[in-house]
Amino acid sequence: MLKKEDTLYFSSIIFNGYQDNFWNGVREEAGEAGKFIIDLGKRINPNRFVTRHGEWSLPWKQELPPTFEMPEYDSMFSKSFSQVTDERALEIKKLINEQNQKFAVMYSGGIDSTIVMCALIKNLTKEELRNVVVATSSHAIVENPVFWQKFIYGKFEILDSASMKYDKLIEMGYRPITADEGDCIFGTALGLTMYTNYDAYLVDMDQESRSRLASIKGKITSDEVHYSQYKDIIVKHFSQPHDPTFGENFYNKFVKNIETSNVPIYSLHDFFWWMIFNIKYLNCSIRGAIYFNDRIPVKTAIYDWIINWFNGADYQRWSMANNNNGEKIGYGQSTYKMAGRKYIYDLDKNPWYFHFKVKLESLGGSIVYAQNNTGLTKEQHPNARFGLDKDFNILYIDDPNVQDFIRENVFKYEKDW
Amino acid sequence: MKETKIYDKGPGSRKEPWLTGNLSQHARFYSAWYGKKNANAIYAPGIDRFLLTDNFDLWLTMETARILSSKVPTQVFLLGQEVPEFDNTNCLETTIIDKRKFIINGSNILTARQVPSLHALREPNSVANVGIPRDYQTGTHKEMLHNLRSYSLFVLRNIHALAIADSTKNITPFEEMIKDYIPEHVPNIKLPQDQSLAERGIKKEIKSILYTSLSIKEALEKIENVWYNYGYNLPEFRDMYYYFMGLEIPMRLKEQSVDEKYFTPRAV
Repeated sequence: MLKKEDTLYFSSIIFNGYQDNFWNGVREEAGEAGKFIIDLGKRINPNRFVTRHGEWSLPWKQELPPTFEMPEYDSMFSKSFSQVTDERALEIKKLINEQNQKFAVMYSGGIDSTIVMCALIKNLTKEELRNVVVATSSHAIVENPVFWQKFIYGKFEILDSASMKYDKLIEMGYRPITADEGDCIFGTALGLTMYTNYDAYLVDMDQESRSRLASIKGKITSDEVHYSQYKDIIVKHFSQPHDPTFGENFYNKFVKNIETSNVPIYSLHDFFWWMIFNIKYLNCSIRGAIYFNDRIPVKTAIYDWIINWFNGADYQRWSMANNNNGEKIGYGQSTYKMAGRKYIYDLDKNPWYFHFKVKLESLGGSIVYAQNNTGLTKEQHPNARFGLDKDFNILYIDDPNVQDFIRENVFKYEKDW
Repeated sequence: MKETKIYDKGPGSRKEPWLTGNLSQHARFYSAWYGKKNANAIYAPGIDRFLLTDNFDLWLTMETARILSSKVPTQVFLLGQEVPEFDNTNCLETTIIDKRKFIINGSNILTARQVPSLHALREPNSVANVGIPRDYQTGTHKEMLHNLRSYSLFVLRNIHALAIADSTKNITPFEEMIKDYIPEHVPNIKLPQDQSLAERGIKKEIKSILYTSLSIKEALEKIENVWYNYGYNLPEFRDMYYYFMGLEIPMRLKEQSVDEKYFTPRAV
């Protein structure tokens, strides 16, 4: 029985068709802050933001589940991305040799899961790679057909991820390896879409703002230009048609988070990187266990089975120590995740992928495509899931008790930024 | 392989005939083209510029974009009359100003898909020349942007040349017809794509080469091998393909002889 003052491990405000009526109903009766937090769900869709560092209030009490805390910032961290990645692969190698564990790499053809494949191919022997299968879909083949031909087809057993969720893989004895946190290490696609529409945001600004913003367009990863100089454009990027104040409201709330953390955030890309490295990180880490799994208890799935490739302390330290040096992004989409591109190129020597690969929304596409909800009631459907309590029980939006919990907390939520 | 010689030496001809635009054989083939402005374009979200424009068949532009998606995500735009004119000399400097409204299955085109969907661009202020993308102004990125342009136009020319030659010279395009039109009644007999010796037909072999090759040189070598190994019985089909490519027929293909005991100019 969920009580109003209980603490959650995870929550999701989402407009997915199934939950729209509920959230719109709550919004009607909510105060300013409650409306804002629901509108954030509409704008970001879903709003699963949870802070790992600095202040970011939610309507309800929230704690981080163990192992997802942010490591201490270490400006002297000196390992390269390649070194960290090779070391990660050696951990898998050890689990194969010492415990004969079997692994299913969730492969999308995107940069993150291709990094995983490259690391395993580089660091494991042919014999050890027999413990690795590739769970994938047709999306992956067309996203990186050259890699598919050269390194996967005929070399690994292939499982159809379109018909296998994590629970099925686990029941078959495989530990799923997901690269779902790759974006967290390099920055968010929310930034990419803003950079690429930069000129469109300038169109109806006054002459002074337009000139000023045009002059710093090429400095999104420069430590000479503070993100606050882009405030006008950020606010427009997050604006909502029905609420002209929303963009600024979001900006101010997030700046408060930045200013109450002790990790250096300076450039515009730092701003967007921090968004996913800090407040979106938990979602990337555990959404698979919650939404892509129906039968295995969430706690068991997270801690005993699923391996989040990028959720290592060294990856996170690398990420915090490598801002604005070209390792995360140059100016646009085709240089995003540059350190990962270099790591892949070292193996596949494909200059096209290196120079032109673009971050795609692989996960959303694959999972929507993959949903097989046979045996679930409507109320247990992934689209009906709201969150996790501190015992890792899934909370469902149709549960009256959960609805009361949400209403009571949203209605009393007050603006603190 | 000997270096392929350039067939097209007409006005504006450069080293690579697919860079000669509408001065080439394939452009003259489309007799309904009266020199109108560009009609279709392929946009590459990754570089945020147009890769190429074309005046002719929209669906061939679409297929070109599909093939190029093995190298770079692509989207196809039908250009309205109001859209400011740009062409293959400046498309890499030309972008769509506001990409926010182009959505595929809930995602913006910038991050939605590797493979192309079709969109229409009609507004007068929708595109602008903003220069070469900043990430591609120096070093290997600059070099690869040049390669991308060449490869894109090379694929486009191939798709035109194949479509023209196949439609003109292939008299047995039966496999697709039978499998698509009467799928419940496909017999267990050989269903040809064409009269070549290639299991999947010449057209599909070449498209597969275009999709998987990493350079024009690699593709041209493989295409020559396909004709050499599987298409020597179809000299007219082959010659027409090379003609519309703007390339001279490679010498070893010219020198191939056809054993008339097994191959006749007639289908039956």
